[in-house]
Amino acid sequence: MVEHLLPALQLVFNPVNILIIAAGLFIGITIGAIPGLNVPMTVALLLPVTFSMHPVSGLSLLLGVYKGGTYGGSISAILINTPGAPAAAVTCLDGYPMAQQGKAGKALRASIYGSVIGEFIADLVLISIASQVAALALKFGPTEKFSLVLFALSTISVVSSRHKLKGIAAGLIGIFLHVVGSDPISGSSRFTLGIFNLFGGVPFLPLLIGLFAVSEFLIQIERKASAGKKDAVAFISERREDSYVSWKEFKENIKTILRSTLIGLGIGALPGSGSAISAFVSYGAARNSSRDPEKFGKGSLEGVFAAETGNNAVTGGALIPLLTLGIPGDAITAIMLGVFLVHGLIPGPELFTKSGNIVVAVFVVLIVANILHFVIASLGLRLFVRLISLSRSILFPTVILICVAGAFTVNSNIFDVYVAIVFGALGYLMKKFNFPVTSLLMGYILGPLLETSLVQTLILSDGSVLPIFTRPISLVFVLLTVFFILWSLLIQKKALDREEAANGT
Amino acid sequence: MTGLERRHVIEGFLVTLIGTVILILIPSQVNEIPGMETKMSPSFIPMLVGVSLIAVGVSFAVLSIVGRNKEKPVELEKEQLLRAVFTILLLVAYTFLFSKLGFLVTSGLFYGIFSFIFGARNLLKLFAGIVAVPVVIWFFFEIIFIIPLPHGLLY
Repeated sequence: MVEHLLPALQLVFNPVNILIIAAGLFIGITIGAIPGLNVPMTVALLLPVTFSMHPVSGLSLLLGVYKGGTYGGSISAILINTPGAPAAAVTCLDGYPMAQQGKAGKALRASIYGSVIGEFIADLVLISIASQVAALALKFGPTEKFSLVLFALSTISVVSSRHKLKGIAAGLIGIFLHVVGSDPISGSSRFTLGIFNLFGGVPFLPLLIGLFAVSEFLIQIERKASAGKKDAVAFISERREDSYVSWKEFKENIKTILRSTLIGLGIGALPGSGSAISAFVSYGAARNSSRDPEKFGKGSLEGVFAAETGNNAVTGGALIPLLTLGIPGDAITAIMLGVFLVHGLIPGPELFTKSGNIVVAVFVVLIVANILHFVIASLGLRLFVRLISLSRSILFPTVILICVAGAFTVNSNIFDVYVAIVFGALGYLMKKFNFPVTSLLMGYILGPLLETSLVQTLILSDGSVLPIFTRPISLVFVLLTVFFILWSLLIQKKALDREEAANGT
Repeated sequence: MTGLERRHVIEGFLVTLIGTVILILIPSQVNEIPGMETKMSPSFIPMLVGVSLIAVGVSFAVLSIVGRNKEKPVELEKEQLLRAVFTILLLVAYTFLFSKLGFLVTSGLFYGIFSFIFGARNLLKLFAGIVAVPVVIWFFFEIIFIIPLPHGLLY
């Protein structure tokens, strides 16, 4: 591989290519920050543009969008409690409370540091041990995938709500929502209520916009009378300690950053998994090993570091199966596959032997993109933070206009806007009754993988669930699930006992 | 039973109701393939979800009755709910007109309404927003990303 380094450096280090990487990052961060626009859609729209470029330039643009977009979702998550991407949903849990406490600057900077460090380490690991990790992921059959999804769902349900049963109920409703449409095995229609637009399932983006953006808009409208202008100014603080992450705070979170990087890397390498799972698992792991688990969900800096490092580390991990095995790790890398194929390159072991300079150039692009990511995100931070200093009477009406336009553009269909409003009302009610909307969303996202892997497991074992408990990797995930639930219940009980004792005195 | 416990029991009942409705709707809403094994049946996962929701809902209600549910009450004010319902109706009207009259005109109108609800009283800023915000969003979607928005009768 060393012999390919010089030509790879020549491919990457030219002014046009560096500008392309920077443009990709800028577009990605902007898109990620705007609810209703998402990274897969942007990558798909930009894909034809890359066809006329050199494959390294095309991949530079898309990798920039991928990295920038994965980070960008945290900006709206922190500032307006609306994740720009599903992966940033967990960032809302602590990022938004921090913003409400006037620490938006600190949360945003933690997000940059966590994201860039997570990406950087993940990329280094990708470069050094890509083939080994991918080989392990390839051994995952449907049983292991089912156990992994079960583990992820249990994590989500118990971390996103104080009342675990409400989290589980929301997750189950999310799984049910995925059922609407065509059955993946037989193709029969399910719960479409005779509505033609539902035959393809509940549309994802309108559901996301409704649950997170429209419901937040309703909450904000409601707060108009009770909170007045106080909320708008509470986000921003002039105090330096509220706007920057101190060296002491950074050192205190190094363990969390490294742990989340490893989780993101491992989950990213699993085909079908993604940054949303990684963010939740990283968050759950951080909460369980934290000295202050009760601070999670109330504005914990550790929570922001865990979520953001976890979801951005996935970008490196997701490239492992794509580059070494030709298997995309997620939707975005699946679209990226198109850049390789249109230039006659087939990702997989042969790519390393026949087009080594391309592989090494991609590795160099990843490292350069991380440096540029840090620079662009840091320099642009004031601009993004200023967004929240906009009057609520400008910001929220603008957000709802973008949401309606965003929901419409998915299929250029007005039905999708109505879906967003319905899920906005549902999200509003769920928030009022303390049912976590993030659990519902993750149930919906993980539902297809859960269903297909469970059905495949049952078919392979002639209806027996025993393989879930007898296959070693699957058993590990099952044990982790049980351990995680018990551990969370124990922590919750201790927290409630402490609260009761405090109220009694 | 306290008011709080009663509220939690109602929440548990609602979760149970959702599970029950799913189970009741399965025969009419799932097209079964004749002769297909249960584990491959399209109704397998909905059935599993329905039964699980009933179990969770009943557990929730029982825990509330025996006093094991220590969750704090949620503030629910009639005025807030009415404001939310009114906003949802406005959004439905916006969506309806959005498809008939076009994005730019309708969005300008509803930007003004929502901005007023959020407390905007400076007429100059309000009118600047009514004109600028829909145009910027339109430019971003239609020109930069080449994603069409409805033009309707008035654009």
